[in-house]
Amino acid sequence: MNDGEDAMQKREDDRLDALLSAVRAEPDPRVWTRTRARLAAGREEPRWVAWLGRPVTLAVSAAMLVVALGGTLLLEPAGGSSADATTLTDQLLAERGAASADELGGTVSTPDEASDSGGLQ
Amino acid sequence: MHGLARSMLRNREEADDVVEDALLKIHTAAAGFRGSRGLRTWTLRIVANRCRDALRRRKFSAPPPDELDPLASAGLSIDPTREWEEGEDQKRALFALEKALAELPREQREAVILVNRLGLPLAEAGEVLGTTEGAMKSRLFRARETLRAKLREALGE
Repeated sequence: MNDGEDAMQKREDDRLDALLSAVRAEPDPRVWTRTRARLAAGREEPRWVAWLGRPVTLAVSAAMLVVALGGTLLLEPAGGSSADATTLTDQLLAERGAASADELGGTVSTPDEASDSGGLQ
Repeated sequence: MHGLARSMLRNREEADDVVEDALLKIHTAAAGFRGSRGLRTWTLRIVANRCRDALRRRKFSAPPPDELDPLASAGLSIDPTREWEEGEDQKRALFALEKALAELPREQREAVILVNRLGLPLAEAGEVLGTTEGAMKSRLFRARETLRAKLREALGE
């Protein structure tokens, strides 16, 4: 790099520094007022709102919900209730000494009991 | 704090909200401040982190429109005590620079704002951004090269 280029770069650097540092930000008193009011009121955002507001947390929660729902749907047919119910009914009927549900509905007759013809006397 | 937030976000309202949140955070976390980094570094770090969060959230919304006066919309102003070279169109140069600054990658923009605009030493700026002095030098070098080129182009030199 020759002297001319050096001088030009130095000039550009100086101008860049001057331009960058020539800008400033005036503090806004309303920000301090609002902050003081929020501190005084203790209105700090609840933790759970902040937690929910985080996109990553939200995405993880949604994914966990989907997995949980999917798992529930997969497991439900395997543990179906109809087969269990039949078994339970059979078990109960067996304990009562009945062979089947039809026998429970049938007429049980004793030897010295007159049979009912169904006719009018 | 305002200088960093407004330069980073280029939106006065959003930047002031960030400063407000940072002040609340500073208030609640003050008890845990051990002074190992220095108060200025600590507070600027909080602001920088909140600016990064705000910029990340912006990815899900429309980008800010190109303003006619990028300084005013960002809540920035020209230092009236500054002396300028004779015949220099300072407003044009400043607007062009602000636009070029906004187009820099975030890491480079942070470095330029902290070191060249706010005047932080390299090491302290590195601590604010959670990086090394070497990384800061590298970011600054690349950023300044880009800014110089864009400024030349914008001013027709």
